[in-house]
Amino acid sequence: MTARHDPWRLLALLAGLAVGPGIWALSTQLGQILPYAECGASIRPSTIFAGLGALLSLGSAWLSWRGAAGLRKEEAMRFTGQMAALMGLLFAFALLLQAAATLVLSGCER
Amino acid sequence: MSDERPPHDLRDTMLAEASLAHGLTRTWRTPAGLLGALSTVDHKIIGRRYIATAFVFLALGGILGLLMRWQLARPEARVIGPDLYNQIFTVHGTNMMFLFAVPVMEAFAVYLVPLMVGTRNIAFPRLNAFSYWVYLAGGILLWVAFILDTGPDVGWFAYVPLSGPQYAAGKRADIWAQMITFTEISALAVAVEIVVTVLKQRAPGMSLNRVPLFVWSMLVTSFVIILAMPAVMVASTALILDRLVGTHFFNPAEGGDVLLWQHLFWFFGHPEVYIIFIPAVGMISSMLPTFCRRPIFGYLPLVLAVVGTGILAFGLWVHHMFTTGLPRMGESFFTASSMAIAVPNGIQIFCWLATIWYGRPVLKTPMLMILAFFFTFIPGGLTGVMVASVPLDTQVHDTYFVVAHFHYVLVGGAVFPLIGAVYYWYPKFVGRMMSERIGRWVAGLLLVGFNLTFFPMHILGLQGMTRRIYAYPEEMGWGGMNLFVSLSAVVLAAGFLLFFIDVFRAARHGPEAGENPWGAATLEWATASPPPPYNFARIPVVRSANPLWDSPDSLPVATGLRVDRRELLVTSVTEARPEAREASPSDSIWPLIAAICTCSMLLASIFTPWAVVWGMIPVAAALTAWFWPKGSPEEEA
Repeated sequence: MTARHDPWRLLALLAGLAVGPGIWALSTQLGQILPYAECGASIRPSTIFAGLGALLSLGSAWLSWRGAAGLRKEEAMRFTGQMAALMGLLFAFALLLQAAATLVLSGCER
Repeated sequence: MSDERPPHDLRDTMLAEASLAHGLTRTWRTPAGLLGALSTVDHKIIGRRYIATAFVFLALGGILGLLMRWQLARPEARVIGPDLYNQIFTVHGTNMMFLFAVPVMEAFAVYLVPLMVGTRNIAFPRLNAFSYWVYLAGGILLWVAFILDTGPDVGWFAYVPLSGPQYAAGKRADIWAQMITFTEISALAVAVEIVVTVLKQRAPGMSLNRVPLFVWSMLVTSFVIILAMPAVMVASTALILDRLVGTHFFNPAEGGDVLLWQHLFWFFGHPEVYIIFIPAVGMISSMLPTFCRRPIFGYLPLVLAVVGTGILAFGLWVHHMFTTGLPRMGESFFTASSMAIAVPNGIQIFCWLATIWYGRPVLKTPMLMILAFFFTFIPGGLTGVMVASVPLDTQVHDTYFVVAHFHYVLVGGAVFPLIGAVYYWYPKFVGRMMSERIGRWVAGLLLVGFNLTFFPMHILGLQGMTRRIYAYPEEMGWGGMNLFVSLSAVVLAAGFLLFFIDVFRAARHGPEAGENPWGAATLEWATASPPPPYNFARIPVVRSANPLWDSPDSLPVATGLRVDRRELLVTSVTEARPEAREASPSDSIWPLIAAICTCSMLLASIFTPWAVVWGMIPVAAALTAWFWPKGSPEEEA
């Protein structure tokens, strides 16, 4: 069965393309909402979310890369998987920067 | 597909080359005369119209820029009064963003994408015709209003409450808001056409890893348009409702929110920058291999760069709102994304440098424009990283530093590659070459004129000169620098003037180009210059990312398409495997009539909300006629 016709393989292949950008979009929205709750709080959900998001994005990149590596004969699908893997890395970096921002700022700054 | 063929089922396999060309011309050509011109759905004719119209708007916007520089050349000048100055900078910005930069990029795609993917027409060609007429009407609306002293005067982003009912009497802000609707309808229509053309009409064998990089960039741009532009249409419609019907979307006294405007506008406005920039990088990635005589270095990272940039573009909008009092932590998330977007753009630049490094560069005019891009866009990108930082942005917000920054990014990042693209693809559009000698002068004048005009604006901004002021006191000490900027603007204008002269001169007197004058690798160069109405006599089959270099003698082709009706090949999304033969709509006057009805309704709705109710009747009638079953073969597929 080719990757196109196997839903699980297809999901793994495209993971980097969906997971990283999806979590990043959510984290960006949370960054607008959470400062009001985090100001003065001991637990920082935005740090946890962005940090875990970065790890998940890295994991999705690994899934895509591994999925692509097994597709020697399906050039286009392998290309898509490789691109998804790089995308996962890019958004892991963006999420790490967001996590770093939560470590520098308390949420109280206006 | 059935083996039973109707009596008039004439296939390309049955005909010799000359008869095939004759038959296809008869089927695909646009009839002569006014009705033919108004009814055509040929993507090349519509693309040429779009490009020409966009460049007319560039020239008009440039004249406004020169008028502003004339006024600012001396302290306390009285060449232009404050009211007219407000209109001039608003119309300049609105015109350049909505009537030139976005449409011209889409225009190139309308012309080139079907040729580059090896098909015979764009998807939804009647929608394409409709989009052009609506765009033209939007442009005419803005400029007629300006000539009648009703030009918008609220800035190209029309912030409320300045543009709201309290502070903007008359119809100037309404003209801005409705012109947005015109141009966004047009842009969205083209975006949908491009997405479908790229995903479903690629030549057999053109799998995702073989798609030309300009086509990739236009695919990404189209998705960005589809996701970003509805936000500004919602915003401008809400503004018109506040102004005309008395709603309170942006009125805090009644539960509205002025910041809602900025969020909606910049959710569109920042991706807008990339809607302009991404096609330009696609142009560079397509032109560079031709002039470096080698395949592009790093195809995969370059695709990653455009896709990554397209997605990250949606997480940057608040960096236009750093001085609005939002929580600093939220702002810092947008700083983070603004820094992260430098990564794909940096990757892109290093891939291009590697292509040049490993190639044998030929310094023709398009290549000079690419080098001019490097010298201007990179400083613009660096100041972009600076203004993405909250403390620095707070200091330089609304100063000439920002004016300098975005001109470096937009002119450096988009206009230089665009002028290079005109020199590169002009032989395909017209069949004649532009002048290399004049091209070198154009490149020199534009590069020198641009940098002398806009670099000093960084310093003026740091000295505290704010944007949108029509005059400044002599004691500020900005006079000398402003005079220098204004004189330099004349050099920049001379570059554009020379470019336009070359365009007109070459159309009549340029040497004939032939099919592939640059020895390029992509499919648009596999057909005549200018291409025949049917683009390709037989649909090419692609076996690599550089088909004309890898199959130099003759391209393999797909056969079996009908000659007696407009027919093209539908292929699968990933692998571009042939799936079906599909009819392509014939010429029709109804897109023009539908556009006239739509535009009339939108225009009248500035004055009365009832125009929407009554105006829908002719719009519905025109659309019904447009889609009425014709009983012709075009509906059979």
